[in-house]
Amino acid sequence: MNAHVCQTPLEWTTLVDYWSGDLAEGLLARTEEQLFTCAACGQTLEAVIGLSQGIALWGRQGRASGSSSEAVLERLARDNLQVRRYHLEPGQTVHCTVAPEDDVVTAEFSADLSRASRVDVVVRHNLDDGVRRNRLEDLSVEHGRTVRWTLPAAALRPLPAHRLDVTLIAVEPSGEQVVAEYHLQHSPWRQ
Amino acid sequence: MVQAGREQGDREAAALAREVIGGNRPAEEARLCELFGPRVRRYGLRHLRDGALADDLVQQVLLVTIEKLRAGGVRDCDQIASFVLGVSRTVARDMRRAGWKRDQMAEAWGREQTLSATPSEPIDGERLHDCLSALPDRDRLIVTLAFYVEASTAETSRRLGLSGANVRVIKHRAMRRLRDCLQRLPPVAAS
Repeated sequence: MNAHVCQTPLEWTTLVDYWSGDLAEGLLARTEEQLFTCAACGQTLEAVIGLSQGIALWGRQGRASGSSSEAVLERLARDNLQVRRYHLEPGQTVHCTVAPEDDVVTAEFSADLSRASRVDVVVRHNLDDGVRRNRLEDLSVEHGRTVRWTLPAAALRPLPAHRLDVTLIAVEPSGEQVVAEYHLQHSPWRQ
Repeated sequence: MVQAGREQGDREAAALAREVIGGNRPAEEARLCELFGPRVRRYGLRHLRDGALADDLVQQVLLVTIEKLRAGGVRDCDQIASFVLGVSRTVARDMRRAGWKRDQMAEAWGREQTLSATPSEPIDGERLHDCLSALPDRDRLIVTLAFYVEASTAETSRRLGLSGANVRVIKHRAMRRLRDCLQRLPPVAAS
C-alpha cells in the first residue's frame, strides 16, 4: 500500500511493550511517531494486536488450563463465565464435582510458599483401574501463598468418582521438600 | 533505531497532502485516508482499548486532517504524519474524557468497556489454543494476565513475585513463540 520503506523497523519486542503499556514516556512518543511513518512497523504491530486479541478471546472462552490467578478468575466472572472454586488448606479433604452450568473449575492450594524458588505439584488419581500420577512443574504462586490450578469444566465432566491426592513440592538446588498435601474427593454431578 | 526510522519521510503522504490543499481532490483525499486510517485505528486501539471508539477516532481525525488541508491549515506537508499523530493525540484525549462519562454510565447499567472482540488481524482460534497449550505454564499465565485481564506488568510482578523485567522477558518470549507457532502449524483440516 505504501511505497515508503522503513530502514530500521521497530522490533517485535518494542511493539509488544508498546501494546502492553510498558514503554517509558519518551520512547512511547518516538515509537508512535515511527508508527505513523513506517508501514512495515504498522504491519508488525497489527500482528501483535491480532495475537493479543486472540489471547483475549481465548481467555473469554474459558479454555485456559494450568496455573491461574485471582485476577483471571475475577475477569472470567465479569465475562459471565461460571467459575467453580475449591479452596484447600494443607491436609484438608474437599468433596468436589462439576455442575452442568460450570464453565471453569479451579482448585486453590494454600501454603507458605514465600521462600520456595520453584514449586511443583504431584497429582495422584486413585482410579478403579489403577493409579495415574502427573507432575506439574514450576507453577506460578500468587502472593507467595496460593497455587491455583484451573481447568475447563468440559475436561473434568467425564471423570469417574475417585480421590485425587495433591502434593505441593518446593524444589531447591539442594533438593526437594514436600510442603503440603491435599485431597479432593471427586464425584460426577448428580441431580 | 527509532530515531533513524523516524527520519524516513513518507513521501507519498506528503505529496498527497500537497495535492489536497485547495480542495476538490476526492481521489487524493481518499488515498490519504486509506494511508492513515489503519495507523490512526491502531493508535486508537492502544489508547482507547475499544474497537468502536477506535473507529470513531479514525473518522474524527481524518475529518479534521482533510478539512485542515483543504483550508491550507497544515504548514508543512512533509510532516503530515506528525500532524495526523498530533490530531490523534488531541482527539483521543478528548474521547477519553468523554469515555470517562461513558464508563460511569456503563457501570450504572452493569456493563463494561472491553477491547474490540473483532481481532484486527483474525487468527485461527484452534491453532492459537494449541500454541498456547504448548507454552510453559508460567508463560501462558503471564500472557493471559497481560492480554486477557489487561493487567499491567507491575501488577503481574506483584502477584507472582517476579521482577518487572522478568515479567517482560517472559512476555516477549511467549509472544514470539506464539507468533512462530502460528506461522509454523499446518492448516487445520476441515471436518
